[in-house]
Amino acid sequence: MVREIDPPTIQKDFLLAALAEGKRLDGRIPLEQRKVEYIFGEELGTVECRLGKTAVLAQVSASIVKPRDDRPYEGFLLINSEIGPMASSVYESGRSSDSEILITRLLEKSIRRTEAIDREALCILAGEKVWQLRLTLHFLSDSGNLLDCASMASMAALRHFRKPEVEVIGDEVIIHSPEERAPVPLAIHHTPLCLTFAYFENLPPILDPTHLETTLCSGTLTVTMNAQREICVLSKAGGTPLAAEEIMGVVTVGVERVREMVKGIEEALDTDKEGRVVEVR
Amino acid sequence: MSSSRLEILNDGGLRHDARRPYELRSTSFELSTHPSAEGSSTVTQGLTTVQVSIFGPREPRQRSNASHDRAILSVEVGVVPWAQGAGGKRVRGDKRLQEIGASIRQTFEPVIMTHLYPRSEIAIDVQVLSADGGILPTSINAVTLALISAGISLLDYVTSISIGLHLTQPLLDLSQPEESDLPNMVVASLPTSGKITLAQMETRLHVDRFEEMLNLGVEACKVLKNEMELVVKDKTRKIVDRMEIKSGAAMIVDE
Amino acid sequence: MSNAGPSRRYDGRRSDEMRPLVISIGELDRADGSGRFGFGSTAALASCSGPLEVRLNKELPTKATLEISHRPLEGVGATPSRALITTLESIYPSVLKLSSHPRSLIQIIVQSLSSSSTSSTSSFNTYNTPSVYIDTDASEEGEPNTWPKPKNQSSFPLEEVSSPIASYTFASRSASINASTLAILSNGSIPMTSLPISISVACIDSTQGQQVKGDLIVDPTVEEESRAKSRFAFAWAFGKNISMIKKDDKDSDVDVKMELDQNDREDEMELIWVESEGKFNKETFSDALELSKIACRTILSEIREKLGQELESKTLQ
Repeated sequence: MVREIDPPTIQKDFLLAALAEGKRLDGRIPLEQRKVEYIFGEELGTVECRLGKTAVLAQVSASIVKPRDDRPYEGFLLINSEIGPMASSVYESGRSSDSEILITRLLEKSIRRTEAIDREALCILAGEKVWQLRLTLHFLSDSGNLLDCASMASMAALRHFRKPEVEVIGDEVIIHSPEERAPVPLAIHHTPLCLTFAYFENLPPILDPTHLETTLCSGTLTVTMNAQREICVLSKAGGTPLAAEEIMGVVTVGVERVREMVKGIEEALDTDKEGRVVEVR
Repeated sequence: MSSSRLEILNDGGLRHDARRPYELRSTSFELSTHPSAEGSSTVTQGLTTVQVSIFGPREPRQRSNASHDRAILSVEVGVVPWAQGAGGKRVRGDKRLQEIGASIRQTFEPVIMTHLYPRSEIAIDVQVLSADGGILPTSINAVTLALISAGISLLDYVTSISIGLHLTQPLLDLSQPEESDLPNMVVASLPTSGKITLAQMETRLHVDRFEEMLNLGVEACKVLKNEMELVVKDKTRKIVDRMEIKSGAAMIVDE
Repeated sequence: MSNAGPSRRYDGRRSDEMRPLVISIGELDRADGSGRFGFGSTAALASCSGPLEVRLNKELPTKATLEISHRPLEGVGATPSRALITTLESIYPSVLKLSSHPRSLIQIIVQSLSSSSTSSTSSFNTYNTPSVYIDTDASEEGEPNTWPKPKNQSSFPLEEVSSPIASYTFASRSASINASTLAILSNGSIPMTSLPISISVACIDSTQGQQVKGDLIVDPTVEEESRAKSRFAFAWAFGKNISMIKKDDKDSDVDVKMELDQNDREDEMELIWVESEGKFNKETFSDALELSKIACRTILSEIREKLGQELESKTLQ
């Protein structure tokens, strides 16, 4: 509803002039990401990810439901990712803008369609009971590059979450409370993460654009990759046309970056684990 | 749904519809297929048919969206209920369709010379009449032709194709069964420069395979452009011929 | 747990002690104002944007349109969310000077940071447990399917009646109110007549020998709330001269007295919102009221301190 005011021409010129010299307004070099920070909540599966001033909160919860008839061995992963006006007044609750759709669709593709979660491992009793995971994303602050931040938050939350241990005796399912038996982590195949690059006319690409950079750029490219050198999703929807070599260049950068980011998540998870009692009672 | 036991490539190196890996499906490009739109086209690739109508440049429907120095694009994508057989029922406001619409808009924004049409709107209406894989590439091809038929200034053609990968063999222009079984991507490029304006991939693929597919896609886009250009030139030649007859007749009267 | 004695609670707090307060102001970059408030882990984040352009059909000619929305931690907003919004809507229009920004929009968005556990059912989640719900469709007749399994169920009977708004604990409702107040403060361009600050109080039965008496505890945890006989939440509006208008109506010779009040350092406070659940008598209520007064003053002074620091760090830049 509130249309954003275009940044002034002088600001645009300044940004472009700086970029032409290989400098960015916040002091980063073109292919540098902002500082990533994970804040783990009290409960398992609640993670707030901060990428510079962009913040996304991800929360995972689980419930037991009946599986689909045609897929009796598969659990569910639902993703709720509505962008509310808290992130920025341009997002309106109840109606989705183009950018919101691109973000939510890409997240969906990156997390769900790449089979990051082993859904068959969510099965408790074939055809009867499976776990349904619900990943809720809260976009707290949109200071550019919500998507990357959301993907990091989601994967960190999924890896942080633990579902209660269940025991199947015949047809009976016993769910153990965490006091009785330590809850178990989810079976995760790989950790796909999004990387967004922004393009400016006749300039090399920049990683992790801020809000201003996103507004002024002539196109973005998002690539979702994992540490196994696989591209999971690639999306360059329009914008400045690029040569094939340029796209490959970005992908090569992505391979390295994603490995570092996965490491970052793992380190954060390890640190959190040390201060938390979940394993043995 | 198709069976997942489909044989993608048989021993003779042929695909399930008897095509070779790099062979495109039969195409048909038609211009001006809508009576009241400024420009329109119907494109058929294999069994996928898309009709696109262009309205505008016109006064923007929503004044608040107008831009003072360029035209804005609005894209609406619809799928007729029978396009995908009984099972696929798409409601309006489907996120997937909205995404396709947004992709089309962003693809054409840098290609259309929007600065020539300030304060106006170019409305692109895409209707998928039958779907057998490759809705997005076929739609992009159809939009290019419709824009040409509407006489809107473009920098270049935009052509698009889907590419799949079976083991190590890339396949071009996938049909629905192939699309649901194979890792695949869509590439749209400007054939003259060979630059890529849209690249979308939704399935896991190793980095090393990716480059091969990308380059193949760009080549295929050039082939498609030649086909499309033939149709456009043929159409314009006819129009020019008619105009000559008319002006020739006028000259006779003058004399 | 229930044998923790009347003076000490199971987490070691005194009965009138709050959990450590989490207060942060202005942490969201793209909102005009934002605040995070938590009673320990029961926390809420709020943002306040405005005055913004308002949509034509919501435009009011004489004052700003106040739009309050809420998002729960998990899933999408439902009845509990709506109930919380109604609470906030009953508080804020009266303390904000909406008339100073006519034909504009003021947006308050509250994000719960702790899960909404009903005060009667899944309340046995202690720390470090994931929140898990059992779909009623999937669970069978027998009890083994419920997780977390209510242990010691016999020791404290569950409240079988709970109102529809019971989904948010009183503590989280209070946190939401306080977070919204912080957000409006941090926005800075919306004049307020007073500051609403809220606290929850619970009354727990403690059986000492034969006597059953109710102990009042401030800022109960989820578990304490579920065990409580009655629960309250109070919001006090702090400010100077807030009650002036009302006094004015009654008699005019209070004026002199009021000027004295003005010089008084102590803020005036006015009860702006109360919600309660469960059985209680008059004495319990007035005791709870007194307790809440003291607690809210403590919160106010902490907020003041934090805000002071915040402003100081801003002026340095």
